[in-house]
Amino acid sequence: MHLVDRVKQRDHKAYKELYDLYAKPMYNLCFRFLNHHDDANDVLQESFIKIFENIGQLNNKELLSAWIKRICTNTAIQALKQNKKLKFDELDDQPTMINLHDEDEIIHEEEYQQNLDLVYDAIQKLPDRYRVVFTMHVMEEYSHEEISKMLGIVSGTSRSQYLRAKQKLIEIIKKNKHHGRQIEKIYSAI
Amino acid sequence: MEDKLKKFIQRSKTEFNREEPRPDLFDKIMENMDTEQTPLVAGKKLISTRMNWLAVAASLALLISCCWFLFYSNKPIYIQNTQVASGPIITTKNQAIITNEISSTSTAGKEQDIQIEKGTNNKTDQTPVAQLKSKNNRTAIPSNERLPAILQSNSLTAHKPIQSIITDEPKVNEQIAETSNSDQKISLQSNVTSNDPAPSMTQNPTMANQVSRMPEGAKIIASLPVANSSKSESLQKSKKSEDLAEEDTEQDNSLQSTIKKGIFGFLSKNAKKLTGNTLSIKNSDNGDYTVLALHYKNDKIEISKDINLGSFGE
Repeated sequence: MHLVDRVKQRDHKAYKELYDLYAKPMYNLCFRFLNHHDDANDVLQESFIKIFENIGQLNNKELLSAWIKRICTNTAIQALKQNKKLKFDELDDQPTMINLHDEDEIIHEEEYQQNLDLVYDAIQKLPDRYRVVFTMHVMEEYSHEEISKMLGIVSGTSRSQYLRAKQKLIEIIKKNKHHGRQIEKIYSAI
Repeated sequence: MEDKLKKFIQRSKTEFNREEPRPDLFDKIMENMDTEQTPLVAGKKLISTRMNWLAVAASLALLISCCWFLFYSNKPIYIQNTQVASGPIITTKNQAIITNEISSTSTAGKEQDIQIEKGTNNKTDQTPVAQLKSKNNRTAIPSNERLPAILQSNSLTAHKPIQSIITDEPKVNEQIAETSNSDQKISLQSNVTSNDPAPSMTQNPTMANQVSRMPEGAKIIASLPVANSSKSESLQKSKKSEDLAEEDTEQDNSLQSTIKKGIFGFLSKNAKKLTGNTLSIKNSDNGDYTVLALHYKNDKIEISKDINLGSFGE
């Protein structure tokens, strides 16, 4: 029997299986949104309660992953809005010019790969509204139209936020990278 | 331009899932879930929950609107045909006791005068105390010395024009005396020729000013354009109209009572059905009074409230 059907039959083992399958990726999703472990745990708990209680509405079993991801995303956005962390200014609607030369400096994928930790840390350092849009578009692969619907903004805002987030991310990576090199030099000199 | 950063992150997505949830989170989820429920059927639970809340909201809205309709939309019943004036219930802002003295009737003018005198304490700027003195002398009415019974009723409405004259200022045609008690505003309106209903004090503030300017010992004489010869007829008319008014009131009360019984009976019977066993309304009516016992209970809260609705028809 399919996992979804077993969960619908309120099989406790099926609950656990479903949780083990999705808890980690969904927790990371929540953490990227909220940037706080306690908040992410609370949101994940609320999301799984919703998932277990409403799984009867899921007719197409193939859409289970997308459905769970959608519930977690919406719950995280709701939590952010309740904490008044997610605010989009009028300036956010204005088009953004990104300096592509910034990206050229770290253009090689190998360099990204070497600096995975830097990228990971840089994402966490982004302002809330940048981080949310960037995470939704890049990590969760939602289109700007989908993002605009979920966040209640226009798609232009989503695009401009993404570009600004990217610009800011590169700035942070560059800064940290430069700082890292300076530390390396200091250590090598010693 | 190719978005290399985006491609890189998407390709190495799993490496970004570094965090772990709390180990006891699953147990907490299970604790917060009601796992004893029946197996889920697509869409059924959510809809029923929504329907429950809708039913509760609808029931409460219906109950509140019924209560409002029954208890706050009761308009006072005015007896249009009764020629009633409040005779002696007049005080000004001062502590004035205005007694009802019936002056000698003016048969030539076919008007009967009401002489209203100020009481002993006539200082106009003192704290207002309204004292009502009324005499119900319906049974013994000397024909020529007293007001007709219709003038001595305690009703606060004055539909029959009364002419009042301040004896110290004979040129003033209209004078009003008002009880300063906020709950009881009584006006005497004089207009011999006109048959228009008397305006109240609040409708004509200049009248109130005139009263406040009354000198000490001033006397207000109100004249009623009722002929002596027609006194008995007016008495009979007033009695008939009072009877009719009482009948109307009884009919209204019985109608109210029927409506109340119907609505509350319906609510009592269907509350549980409408709200999915969350709200129960018990209607105890022993003839003298009605008590609605409301009881609301769901998974989270439980509320009980008895509402005493008093007696029907009152």
